Amino acid sequence: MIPELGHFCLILALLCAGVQSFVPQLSARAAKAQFVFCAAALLLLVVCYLVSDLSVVNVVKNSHTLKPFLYKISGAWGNHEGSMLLWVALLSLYGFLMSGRAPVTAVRTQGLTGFGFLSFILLTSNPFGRIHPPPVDGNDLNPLLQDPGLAFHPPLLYMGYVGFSVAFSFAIAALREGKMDQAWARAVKPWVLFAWTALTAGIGLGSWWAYYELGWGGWWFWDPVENASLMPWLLGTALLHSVMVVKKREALKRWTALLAILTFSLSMLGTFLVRSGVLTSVHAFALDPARGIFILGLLGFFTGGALLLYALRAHLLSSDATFAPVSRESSLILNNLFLAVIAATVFTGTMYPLVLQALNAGAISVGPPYFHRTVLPVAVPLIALMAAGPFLPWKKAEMRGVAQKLKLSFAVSVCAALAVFAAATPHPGFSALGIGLAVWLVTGTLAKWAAHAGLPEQSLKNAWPRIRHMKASHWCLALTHAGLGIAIAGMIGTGPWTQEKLEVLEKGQTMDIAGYALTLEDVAPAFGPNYRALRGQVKVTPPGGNDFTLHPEGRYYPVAEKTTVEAAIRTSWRNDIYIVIGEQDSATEGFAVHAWIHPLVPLLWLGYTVMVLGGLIGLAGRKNEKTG
Amino acid sequence: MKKPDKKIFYVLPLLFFGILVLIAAIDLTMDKTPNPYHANLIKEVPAFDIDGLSDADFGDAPAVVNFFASWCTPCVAEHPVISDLADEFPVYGINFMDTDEGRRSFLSRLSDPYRKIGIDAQGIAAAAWGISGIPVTFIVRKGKVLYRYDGPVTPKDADSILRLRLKEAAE
Amino acid sequence: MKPLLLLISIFLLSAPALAGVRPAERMADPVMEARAQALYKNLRCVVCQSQPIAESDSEIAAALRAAVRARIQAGDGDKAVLGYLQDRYGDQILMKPPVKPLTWPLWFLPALFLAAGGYASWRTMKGGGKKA
Repeated sequence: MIPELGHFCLILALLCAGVQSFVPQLSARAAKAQFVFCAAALLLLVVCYLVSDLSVVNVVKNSHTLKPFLYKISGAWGNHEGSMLLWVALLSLYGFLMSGRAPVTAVRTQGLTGFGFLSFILLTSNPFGRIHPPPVDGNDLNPLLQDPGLAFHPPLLYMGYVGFSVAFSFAIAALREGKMDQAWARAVKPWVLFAWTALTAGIGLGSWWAYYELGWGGWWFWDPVENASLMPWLLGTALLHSVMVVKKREALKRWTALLAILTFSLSMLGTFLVRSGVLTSVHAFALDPARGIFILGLLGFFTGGALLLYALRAHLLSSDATFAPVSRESSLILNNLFLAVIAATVFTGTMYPLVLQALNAGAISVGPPYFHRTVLPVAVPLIALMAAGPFLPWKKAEMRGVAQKLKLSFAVSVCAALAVFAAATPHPGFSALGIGLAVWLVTGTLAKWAAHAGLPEQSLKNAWPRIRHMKASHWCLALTHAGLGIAIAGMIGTGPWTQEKLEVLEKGQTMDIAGYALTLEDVAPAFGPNYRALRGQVKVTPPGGNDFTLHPEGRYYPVAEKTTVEAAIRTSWRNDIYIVIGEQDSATEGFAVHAWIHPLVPLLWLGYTVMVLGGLIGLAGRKNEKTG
Repeated sequence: MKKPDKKIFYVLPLLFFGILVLIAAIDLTMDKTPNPYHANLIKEVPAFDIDGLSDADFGDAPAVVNFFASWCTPCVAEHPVISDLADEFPVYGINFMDTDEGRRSFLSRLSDPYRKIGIDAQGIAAAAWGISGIPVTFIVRKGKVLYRYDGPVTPKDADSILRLRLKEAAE
Repeated sequence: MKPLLLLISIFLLSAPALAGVRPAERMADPVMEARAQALYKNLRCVVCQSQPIAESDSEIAAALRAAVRARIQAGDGDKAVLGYLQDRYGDQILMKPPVKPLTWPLWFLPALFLAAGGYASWRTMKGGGKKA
C-alpha cells in the first residue's frame, strides 16, 4: 500500500508542476502543493526502507534487514531512483520557498524543471516498483557507502546543485522581461550563497569521506564524478561574485545571466554524467541507455532553451555603469575570468575523452597530471587576487593605497615562502609557492577584516564594538576567503609533503616512517552487525612522544560480497598518521601495512569548515539585516 | 549613443552547446561493441620468457595462443572449443595469475589441450601481449600476430573466424 | 589458538584482495621500488574507471605492476617503461595524455580560453563596463 501511495504522490506532484508552469495565476499555490507531494513521496520511500519492505525492487536491490538504522534511511537516496527523487524533492522545496518572493516567470520556470524531472522519474526510474514474489532478503547497500559521512553527502551536494536552479529561474525571468536590476540581484543573491554553501559542504564531506574511507591516502582524484561537482562549484563561485557587481553597480548583467544558466546546466550535467552511464560505458555495468537519452533530452531542452532565450534577448540587458580599469569591478571581472577558465578547463579534461570515444577517434585517459598542469597556473593569479580584491573600492581605486595596506601581508608571506624553500621540503619551489599563497590569502584577508574593525589605527578596546557589530557580509568575506587559504595549506601538506610507506610486517615487527615507529602487535578477527573484520593492532611511537595504538581494519560484507579497508587515523594539529592493513603475505605470514604521514591535513578540513561557516553567517546576517 | 550590439556573440553559447549535445547523442546511441579497449596494438609476437614458454617456442606454422586461469569461469566455458581447435592446430596456453594447484586441477578435471603451457604467475607475459582480461586468444605465425579474439570463444566463432584465419594462414 | 587461526584463514579465503599494491610486490632495491611506485601512479588500470594501477585490486592491475617492475629490473628508464606499455595498450594507459594532433585541443584549449576570456575582460575593463 505504501509504495502505491508514494507512486500516486509522484503523479500528483507532476500534475502540480504542470499547473505551476502553465497556469500563472495558480503557480504559487501549485508550487506549495508540488513540494508537499514530493516530500510525501520521499518520506514514503524512506518508510519502505525503514520497514524493509522487500516487495519493492528498490529496497531489495539496496537494503538488507540487518543494515544499521542510519543506512536504512540514507540507503533511500544511495541509488539511482532514490537520488533522483531527492533531487526533485529539493527542487520543489526551492520552488515552494521562492514562490512568494520571486517573479512569476521564475516560479513557472522552476515548475517546468520539476515537470521535466518528475516525468523522468515516473517514466524511467520509478523508485516504487514492486517485485513478485518478494525475496527472502535484500542485496544490501554497497559497504563503501555505509558511512556517516556519505549518508549526508548526497543531500548536501544536491541541495547545492539544485539550489542553483533558483538563479537559473531568475535569469530566465530577467531575460524574458529584458530587465535585470539591483532588486533582482538582491533577491537572487541569498539563494546563490545558500547553494554555494551547501555545495561547499557537500564537496568537503565527499572529499573527507574519500580520504578516510577509500584507504588510498588521498582526498581528491580528479575523477569525472568529482569533476562533475567541482564545475558547478567553480561557476557558482563566479556567479556569487558577479551577482555582487549587479547588486552594487548594475554592471556585468549579460555575463551574470549566462553564468546563472551555465551553473545550473553544469549541475544538471553532473547528474547526467553520474546517472546516465556515459562515464561507465567503458565498463561492464553500464546503466539503462534510455535514462541517458531522457536526461540528455532534459538537458537539451532546459539549457538549449535558456541559451536560445539568451541569444534572442541578452542584448536587452545593457548597462550604463562606468568604472576605471583598476577598481573593485575590474577585480571581480578577473575573478570571474579565472574561475570560468578553470571551470572550462575541467570541463575540457572531463569531456574530451568522452568526445573522442563518441567520435570513435581514439581512447585516452585524462588523469591528475593533466589537471595539475592546466588548472594550477590559473589558480595562482586567482588566489593572489583574492587577498587584494576586497581592498579595492568600487568605481576607481588607487594602486598605491592598496599596496600600502597589504605590504605587511606581502612581507609575511614572502618570509613564509622563503622559510619553506630553505627547509628543503619535497618539491621546494611548488611548496614555497603554495604556502606563500596560503599565508598571503589568510593574512591579506585578516588585514581586510581588521580594516573593517578599524584596526590597527584604533585600540582593540575601541575596535571591539565595531567587531561585535560588524556586518555579516564582512564576516562572510573574511571567513570564506581565509578558509580557502587555510585549506590551501592543507592541500600542500597532503600533496607534495605526504610520506608513504608500504611494508610487510610479521607480528612484533616494526617499520619506520618519518621518525614514527609502527609496530604490528596483533591481528585478530572482529565482527560488526553486517560484516566480519580483520583488525590490526599497531603501536605507534612518535619521535619523542607517547605511544598510542591504532586499529586499522579490513572488512568483509558477506551479503554485498565486498571488502573494504577501514583506515586508522590519528589526527593532531601537525599531521595525520594514516594506517591501512592489507593482505596477508603467503610467504612470510606477515601483513601488508600501508602507512602515510599527511602533514597539515587537519587544515584542509578546517578550511572547508571555515568556508561553510562563512557562508552560513552571511546567510543568517542577511535575515537580521532585513528584519532589523 | 549606444553602438549597435553585435548579437552574433550571444548566439555562440547556444552553438557550442548544440555541438556538445550532438556528440553526447552520438555517444549514447552508438553501439559500444567492439570495445575500443580490445583493439589489438601488437603486430609482432612480443618478447617474453616465462616458466615453460617463450616467444621462441612457436614454430613457423600458424598457432593459437590462449590465456586461461582456473579462477576464470568463461575459460571453463570455452575449454571444449579450445580442445577441438587443438586437434587441428598447435595451441599454446599461458596460465594467467594462477596457483599450481588451481592449474593442475583445472587441467585434470577438464583435459589438457595445450602443446606447451607457460606459467605467468605475475602477469608479465599478459602485459607483454597487451591483454586487459581473460580469456583471450591469439593467432600467430612466423613471429606475427594475425588475430586477437577477446572473451570466451564460441563454437560458431571458432569455425567462422578462428579456423578460417588459421587455414588462410597455413596457405 | 587453533580455532582462531582457522577463523582467520576462512576470512582470508573469502576476502582476497585489499586496496592496491600487494605485499609480495616489493622490490628489493629501494630506489627501484620508489621509481615503480611513482610509475604505478601514472598508469591507468585499463579495466577500472579512472583509477591508477597503484590503487586497483584487479588482476590486470597487478599484472601491469609486475610488468613495470620487470622493465625496471631490465634496466629501462621511466620513459621507456611507459612507452613499453603505451605500445601495447595505447594512449589510454597513460594518466597524462600525450601531446599529439589528436590531443591538441585538450592541451591548448585552456590557453585559448584564457586568451579569449582575457581579451573580453580587458575590453570590458577598458570600456568601463559599457559592454557587459
